[in-house]
Amino acid sequence: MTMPLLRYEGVYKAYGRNVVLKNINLDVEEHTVTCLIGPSGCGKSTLLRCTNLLEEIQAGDILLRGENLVTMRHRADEIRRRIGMVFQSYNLFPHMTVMQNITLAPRRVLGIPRSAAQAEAEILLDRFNLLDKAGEYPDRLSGGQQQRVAVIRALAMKPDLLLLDEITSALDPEMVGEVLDIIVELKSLGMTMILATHQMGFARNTADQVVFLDRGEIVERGDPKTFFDNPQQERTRRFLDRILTAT
Amino acid sequence: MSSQIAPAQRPPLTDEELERLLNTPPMWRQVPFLRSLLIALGSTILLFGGFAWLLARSEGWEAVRVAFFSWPDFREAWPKVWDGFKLNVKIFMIAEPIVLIFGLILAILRITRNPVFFPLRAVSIFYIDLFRGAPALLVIFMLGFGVPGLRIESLPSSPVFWGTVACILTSSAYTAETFRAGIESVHPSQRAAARSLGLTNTQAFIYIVLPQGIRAVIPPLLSGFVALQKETSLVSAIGPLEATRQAQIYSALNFNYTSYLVAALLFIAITVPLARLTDYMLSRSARLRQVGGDV
Repeated sequence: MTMPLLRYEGVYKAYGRNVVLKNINLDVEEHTVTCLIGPSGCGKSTLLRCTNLLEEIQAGDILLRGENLVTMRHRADEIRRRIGMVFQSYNLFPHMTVMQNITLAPRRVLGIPRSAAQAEAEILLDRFNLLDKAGEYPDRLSGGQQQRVAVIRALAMKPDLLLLDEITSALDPEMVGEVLDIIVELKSLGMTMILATHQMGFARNTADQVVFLDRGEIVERGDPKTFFDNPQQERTRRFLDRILTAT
Repeated sequence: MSSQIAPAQRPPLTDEELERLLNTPPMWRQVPFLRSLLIALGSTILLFGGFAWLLARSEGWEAVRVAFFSWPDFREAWPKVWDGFKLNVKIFMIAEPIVLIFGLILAILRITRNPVFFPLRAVSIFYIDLFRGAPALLVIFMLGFGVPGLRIESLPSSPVFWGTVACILTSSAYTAETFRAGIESVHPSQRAAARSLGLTNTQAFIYIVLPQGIRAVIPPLLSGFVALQKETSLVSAIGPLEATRQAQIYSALNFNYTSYLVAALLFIAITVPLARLTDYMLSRSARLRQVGGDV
């Protein structure tokens, strides 16, 4: 039996006495896209933040290629360079140019010389049509451009896994497409990704597995076609009804 | 139904009309500007004229004018006071870089959460409380008279040296708090983003948090420069012949206070450019923030 790229086993997370993740069990296979959906506050973002060790879990294990991240907390920096993360609010470094944002971690963490790091960044910027913005500061870019730079910044570390935390939620509607297009392209390149998202159409078309979380629990999980066309759980049906009638 | 009612139609502006609309005369030729200018001039003349008139009417004005605003005394006192002022500038030039470095170290120690550094953190908090609370003049007295009194051979006993040290000690406490405010103003999501890329805690601090934190407090740091420049005059209390001391000597010998005016003008002359630079930096950072606020 081969190990999945990422496996959650009985993960619990609480803030004080407030349990926000309850017994999460989930496998993420290599080269697949997993979409986490669910109402606000259901635990999607928390699960991603725990995966990147930005939050500590109270029980359970998270295995990356069979290695237990929980027992490797003291080597958190080493794990984080293998797991990229992109945030809802972009979090680009405002005092650095696009190029400096992208090359900072490859240079300081991986020790790649500046010229080599820049050459790689240029290839990525070119692929996503942002090469002309290399010398700009983030506040001169549109939201969509900033978020695309944030994705490139994470990619520059050549991660095994990319975590995308509601990366289109802060964008104007006309910019959502340009960011989602990148995700589709990354999928075709074989990148493994976990997305927390509210974009149901995107989840249906792009995801390999859809996971519905509610109040910290996985309520239902399945391939997108079954999940959206024939949900098994009453809670899933109610959530989908609400979402789909709203849009 | 309502959609069938035609909206009111106005003919578009002709090119000529539009041109007139867009071609506004320069600000100083517009009536509202001229009106404000006249009002400002009038109220200024009224206020300061009235003030001057009151001064001139007061009984002791003639005596004060001779004692504080005497041109011959101004010229006579100038060389000595100017000489002393060079010492103020020298103290400032030596103290300020040390203050910046020392203040930054204190601020970093104070915000470190690592339990290993708890004793250093406690020392930093105690230090800042102590030197922010103690009047600079008292610190100058205690160091200037106290330390040489210990008669420790290896320590310098010059009052200029100990006066400078006292300035550094008090100023650093303020500067540390300014730095701390800047560092804490950087949003935690910036640190999270840096850590998520694999940067260590220290790297995230050095490359991401610190540069943004310092940038945010450059204007108040410059204010600190101005304050330190003025504080150097307190060193006169333990003897060094800086500008204030020279002014005092002149006034004691000549029974004329114009020398104080000379010293005051010198201090103002050097702090005004700093103040304008601070204003410029403040307005620039406000502008930059506006550009960033589009999402």
